[in-house]
Amino acid sequence: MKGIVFTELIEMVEADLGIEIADKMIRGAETSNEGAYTAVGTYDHAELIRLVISLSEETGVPVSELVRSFGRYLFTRFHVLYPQFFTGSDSAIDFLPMVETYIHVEVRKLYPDAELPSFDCQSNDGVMRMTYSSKRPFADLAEGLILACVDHFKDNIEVSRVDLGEQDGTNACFVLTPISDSQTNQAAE
Amino acid sequence: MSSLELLERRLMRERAARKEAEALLDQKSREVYEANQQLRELADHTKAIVETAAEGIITYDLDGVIRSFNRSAQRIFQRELGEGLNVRDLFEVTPVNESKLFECSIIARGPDAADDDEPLMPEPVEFIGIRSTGKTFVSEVSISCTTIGEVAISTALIRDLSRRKKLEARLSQAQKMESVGQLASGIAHEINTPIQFIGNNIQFLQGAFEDLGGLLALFEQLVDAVESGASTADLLQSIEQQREIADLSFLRQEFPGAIEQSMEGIEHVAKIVRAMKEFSQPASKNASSFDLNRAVENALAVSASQYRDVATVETALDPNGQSLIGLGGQLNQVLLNVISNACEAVSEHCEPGAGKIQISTCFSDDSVELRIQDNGPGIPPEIIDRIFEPFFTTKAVGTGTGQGLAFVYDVIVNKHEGTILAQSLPGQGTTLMITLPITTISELKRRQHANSLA
Repeated sequence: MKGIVFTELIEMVEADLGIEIADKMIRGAETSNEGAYTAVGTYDHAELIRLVISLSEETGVPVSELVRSFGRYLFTRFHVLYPQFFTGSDSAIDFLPMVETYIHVEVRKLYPDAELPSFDCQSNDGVMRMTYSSKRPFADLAEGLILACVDHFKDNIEVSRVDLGEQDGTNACFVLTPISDSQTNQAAE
Repeated sequence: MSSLELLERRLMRERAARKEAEALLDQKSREVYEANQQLRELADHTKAIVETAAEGIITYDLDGVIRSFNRSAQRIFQRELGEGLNVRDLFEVTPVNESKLFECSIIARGPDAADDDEPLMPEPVEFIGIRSTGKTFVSEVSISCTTIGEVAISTALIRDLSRRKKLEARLSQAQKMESVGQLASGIAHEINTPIQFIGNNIQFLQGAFEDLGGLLALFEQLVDAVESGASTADLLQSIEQQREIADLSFLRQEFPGAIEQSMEGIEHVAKIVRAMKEFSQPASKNASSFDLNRAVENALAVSASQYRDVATVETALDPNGQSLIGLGGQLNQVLLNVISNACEAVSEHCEPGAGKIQISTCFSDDSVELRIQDNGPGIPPEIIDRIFEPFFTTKAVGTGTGQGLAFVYDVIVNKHEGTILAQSLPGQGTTLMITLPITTISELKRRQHANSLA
């Protein structure tokens, strides 16, 4: 897993929870490099899981909720670091298919050995089904990224998730359904 | 832990991460350098292959603007620089052949083309090349295409055929001389036989004239004697004796026959000489009117010695024949070659005199079919597809060049846009069917005019 995920996690924890919690998280995870991650490096994804578990123990927040929050944070960081990927997209429905067809293609040019999850997008009558598949159990991270994406584009879209396969976070289907105005008014009432 | 200690730990992590990043940067730099080296070597290798290739290699875009021009292309076209020129400047381009220069570009497809079964490369085409001096030469051009980025690029491999054409011309001339040489002794025999009996008849007529001369002289003396009133008894007796010596009734009987035979012999010799004269006309590069039926008769006259003892020849030449436009010298050679092949086939397979060769022509509005059928051994199915290949022969080394039918194929198919088909079964003889298009003089002139306007 690329180092940027690790460095962003540590920075998020330092910013939101303080350097002491961040330090405890690192020490509790007992990683091989004692938390000295560089964004351009490549590290074992199991270390990320250990860091998140350690953070969960420190904060009492469930692991899946932490990972989902991290996904939201990561999206905002991606938008700052790689604005070129967002050019020309007006909605989450426009942008999300490009993760597989464009963004991951560009990532592989720089990092040919990158092991990236795959996203298969199918649209029908305005409803998009985005199926996440990975060797790693980070469906929660994907969910956070998708929710942040919808918020970023201020779309009126409901996101639901169905876990597939082994139900271990390696395989999930996210259904993005546009909410009509009448439904929005009903909800408001 | 105090804030200071936390910050120190954070600082240490940052330093370690920075060092790791620097090491990664170092490693990536080395990888980039090595990749560049490999790319440079690959580029040099490719460039060396292109530059040292024996063929001229040029690349050009959809507009014909030349992008690369290797050393062999420089040598072939006698130009130091070709980049920037237009490919149309290198060849004699007509509306018909121009499309072949860009045929590949028209069907150029995207990156997935490699998965297609259809080939992107048309067959090699002959073009007339133009050197920088303005001198033209025959070239063979193979064109392929690719896309670089989104730009369609054509690559042309060019072979200068000047030397090959010279060799082909020499080979063709050698073939012709070989045919002429083979026919020479037969023609000599053909001419010698009628000359013999012409000579015999003339000798007979000469002897008869001497006898008649004596008789005429006696009759003149008789006339003088009657006019002068002298005695004619002795003269009459002499005349009677001379009449017996001359045998007038015999001469009256034989004279017409001797004269007729001599005339026939002279006509036979004249026919053979005419046929040889037509065959030996210098080969013209320009197509002209060609009488196929007459050419068949000439070919049979010239080659009579070959088939006379081995086969009977039957002809069924369409009386409604019209002239076609063709290369007369080469078509005559074609006829000689196929008749020669038929003769050889029947002489190998049939008893003397049992061989049969049938030649027929059939004209339609736009084409003529020529059939040559023999009752020779036939052609085995495993080789029938190869009989028109250059240098293919079933004869022993030194007895055949394997060029006869290859020449026939080239003349009929390539030079006259005709067709040729061999039908044969072992033991059942062979039928060769040649079809030639009939292009009238007006049609030829119309095409030439259209080409000149282009």
